[in-house]
Amino acid sequence: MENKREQPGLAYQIIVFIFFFLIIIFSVYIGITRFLFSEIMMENSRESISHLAHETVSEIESRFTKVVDISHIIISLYHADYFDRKKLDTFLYDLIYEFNTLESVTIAYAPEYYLNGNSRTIYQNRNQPGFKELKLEDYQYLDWFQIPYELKSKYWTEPWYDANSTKQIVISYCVPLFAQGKCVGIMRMDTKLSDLQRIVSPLKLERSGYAFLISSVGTIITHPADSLTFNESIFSLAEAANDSQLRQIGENMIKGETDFVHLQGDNILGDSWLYYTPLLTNNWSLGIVIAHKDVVKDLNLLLIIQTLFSLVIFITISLVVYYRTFNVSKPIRYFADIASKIGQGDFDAQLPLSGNSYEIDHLIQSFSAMQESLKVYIKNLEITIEEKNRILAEVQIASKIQQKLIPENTEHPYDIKAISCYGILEPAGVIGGDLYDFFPVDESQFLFVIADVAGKGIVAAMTMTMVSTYLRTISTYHYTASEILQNLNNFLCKQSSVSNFVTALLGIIDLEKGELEFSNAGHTPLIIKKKGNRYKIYSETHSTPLGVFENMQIGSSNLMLDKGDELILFTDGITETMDEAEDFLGIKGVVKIIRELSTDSPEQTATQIIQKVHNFAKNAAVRDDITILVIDYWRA
Amino acid sequence: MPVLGDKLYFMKCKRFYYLIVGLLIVSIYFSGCKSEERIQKNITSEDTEAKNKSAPSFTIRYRPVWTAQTQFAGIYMARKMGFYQDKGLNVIIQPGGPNYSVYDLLQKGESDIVQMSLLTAVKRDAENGNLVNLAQLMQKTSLMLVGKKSRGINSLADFNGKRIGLWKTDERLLASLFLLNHNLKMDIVDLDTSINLFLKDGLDVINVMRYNEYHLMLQAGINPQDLFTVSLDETQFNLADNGLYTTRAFYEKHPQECRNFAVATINGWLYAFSHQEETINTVLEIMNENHLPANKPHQLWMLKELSNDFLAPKDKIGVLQESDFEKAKKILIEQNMPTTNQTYKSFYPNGK
Repeated sequence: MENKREQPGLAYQIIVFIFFFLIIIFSVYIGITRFLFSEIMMENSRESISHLAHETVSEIESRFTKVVDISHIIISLYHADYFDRKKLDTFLYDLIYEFNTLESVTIAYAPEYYLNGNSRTIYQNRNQPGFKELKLEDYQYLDWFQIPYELKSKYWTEPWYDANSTKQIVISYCVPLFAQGKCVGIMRMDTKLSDLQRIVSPLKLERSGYAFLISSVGTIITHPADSLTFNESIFSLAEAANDSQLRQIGENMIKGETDFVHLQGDNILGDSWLYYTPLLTNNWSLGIVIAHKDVVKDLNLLLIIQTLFSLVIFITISLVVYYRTFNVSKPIRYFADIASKIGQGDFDAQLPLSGNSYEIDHLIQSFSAMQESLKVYIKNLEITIEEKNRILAEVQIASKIQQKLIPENTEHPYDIKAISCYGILEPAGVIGGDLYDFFPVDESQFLFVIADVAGKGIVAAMTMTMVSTYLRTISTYHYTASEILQNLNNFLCKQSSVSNFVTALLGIIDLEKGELEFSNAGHTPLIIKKKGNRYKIYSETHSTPLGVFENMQIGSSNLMLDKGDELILFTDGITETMDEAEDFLGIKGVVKIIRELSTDSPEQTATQIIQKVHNFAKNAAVRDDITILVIDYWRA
Repeated sequence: MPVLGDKLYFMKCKRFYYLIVGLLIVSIYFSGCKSEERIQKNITSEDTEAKNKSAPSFTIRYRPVWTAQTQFAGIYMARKMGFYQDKGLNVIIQPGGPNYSVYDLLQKGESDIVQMSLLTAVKRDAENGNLVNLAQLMQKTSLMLVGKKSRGINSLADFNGKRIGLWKTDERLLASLFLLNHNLKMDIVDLDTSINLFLKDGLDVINVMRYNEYHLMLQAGINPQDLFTVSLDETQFNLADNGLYTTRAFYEKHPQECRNFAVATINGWLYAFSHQEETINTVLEIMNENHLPANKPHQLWMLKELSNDFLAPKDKIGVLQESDFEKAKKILIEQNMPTTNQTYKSFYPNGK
């Protein structure tokens, strides 16, 4: 047997129900928050990064501007006649000493103005003046000289290694010197790359943020990773990572554009946000990188807090619901225990007085009323059952008495050699309304009868008992078959309180002559099976059923029996037997069964017919008493 | 016992202990000196034996035509992998670049073997006629002329009247001859190693090597479609480029060493092409030591481009073909320029 799954508790069901709804509500809430706040936080990040970037740009620009301003002073002094070379060099050294922005100043002359010793670099070495004469071939084709010389314009160099004087990586501001409209040389002012790095490197945003500078051709000038500076360009990084987005960003940066972009390629910058903006002095570009996870850190924190808050709310609601449901359901559980006891027969079990709520109080009251009703009902039921048992016992006795009324099957009843009988009566209930009987009336007369009382139960049984007793009584007066039935009819009619009527077929055989007189009062036909597998059906009835019309004249039929004839009598319980398709067996069915019989005695005939009737019915319910009586005349 | 007596007794004992410990130290020292001397003798003898077996006995001073970069990866790898040492050579790599004329330094005896282009060698050999090609490394030229479309350079004809940057060294020769051959009149600006003047629009056209400066332009944010390019390997001026050269005097004095140097160098190149990652890392280390800007993608590009120039055709690796030699001479003669008087066999004695 399959075990029925235990249903979850009320608190559990309510909590699960609330949980699902809370998940939906908080998901929508968190989703909306994320949507709204991500834009705001991204804009805030952009603003704070751009603010930082512009502050840095301004600091670098001020450093560059200072160099540019100094260059203006030197140029003006250079052209002033009262400043000879010695004074100029002293002044330059003082400038370098005073402005730590400046690492060195170089004045280099063009080939046609170059004289040995007049191109030189003035620098500072451990607070001591440094001085180095330059040879034309040492600088003529270097960028810092050639580019401003060829372009005739000011030029900020890429970072380069000054192997001659400062021996470190510098960035140079180069200004052409003009005399009489011709470029006579270049003045170069160096500032250390490390100074720029000191401005840019400390820029830290969150944990991952950092800044970097690229030159006007994309060379990385400062970057937290020292190996990149001076070696890599933003385009080489893009090439190494095969990242077209980074290359496009590099192109935009060297064009002087400003933007805040999300980098997602597999490059050294990783999954990050990049803000870039140009330096106006020299077309360099400052980039500030911050990891995506740091940009959305606050948003994620907010979402985590919201989720935790939601969880706390859920747990709190769950506890409250559980506590309240536990209290509310406490009387129900008690009530359930009581109901279980009542179910087991303890009708005096005490129900709870109150249920903490209207519904439960109402339920308790209703159950209390039901408990009282049940008590009364059970009491009545006990009485009824007692009565029923008594009646049933009496019926059992009646049934036994009824069985005694039917003659016992013996091979030759009353030692009458000419007769052999066998009867079967199967009542549909405990007692039935069918009857068969046979007995000798005198030495030569043998009476047999089969009868069927309409209806069932006690009334039918009582009527049948009366019929049986009456027949035995009146048969001793040598009546004919028709007279016996007429007497029986009048007797039954007088018992007007008994409304049942009776069908009967009664016959008297003259044992010596083989003459049979029979009278059929509304009963099923008599069938006589002859030798040679022949049979005869005597369907005629001599009256309506008995017990309906008083003083009714009842006829009879006479016929001669041959030795070996077999008289087969049965009640309508056999002909009205139905199969599973609810088709009656009918007289035709009975004849068919009889025709196929091959028997040696009335017992075999009777039992085989009953067996075949049961086979016909199969599993169909037996609705009526089934009775058969078979009489062999002089078979021996 | 009196206290003082105790003290004296202790002091006597102490002296005795000091004496014993001192003697022990002295004996250990002398025994140590003996064993050390023995070890030293063993080391010296082993070292000498090792030197006799594997230490290079012959020193060659090699000078590259340019600053340190992958263009000389074969030399670096041959040295690193001990290919020279295996041949009994100790190779000194001298500085190179625009300030060093490899031909002049070779003639002055400041270098033993140099690397230069075939065209330069054939032209400069007109002066002394003593150059010997030990091996031809690059079988074709990587030279390009590149103009900015934004500066109005969309065809060869647009070169006329524009400013072109050419290397100030002998390496400019092929580009100059190309301009002469096409009768292009241009304002020539001498250049060192940098392409920044071109990037800053100080030049309209520039000579570059595909393996080097051309790629640096791409790494400076210029897109190929913004450039008009002439690849000389696709013209009649396609010539074998870098080769290993020495003087006849040096070659005749040390023929086996010269051959060994050429073979080891070619093996170094073959190793470099088949071990690119290791090669690039080695080159980057050398460039960093020399304070030269260097990035991996660029050096890798260079190695791949060089392998195209070096390995094509594959059956001619390291071989100077007579047709190339004659072609170089012909190009010079057509422009009435001096050229070598040597024959192919004299110029390239290792050839068969």
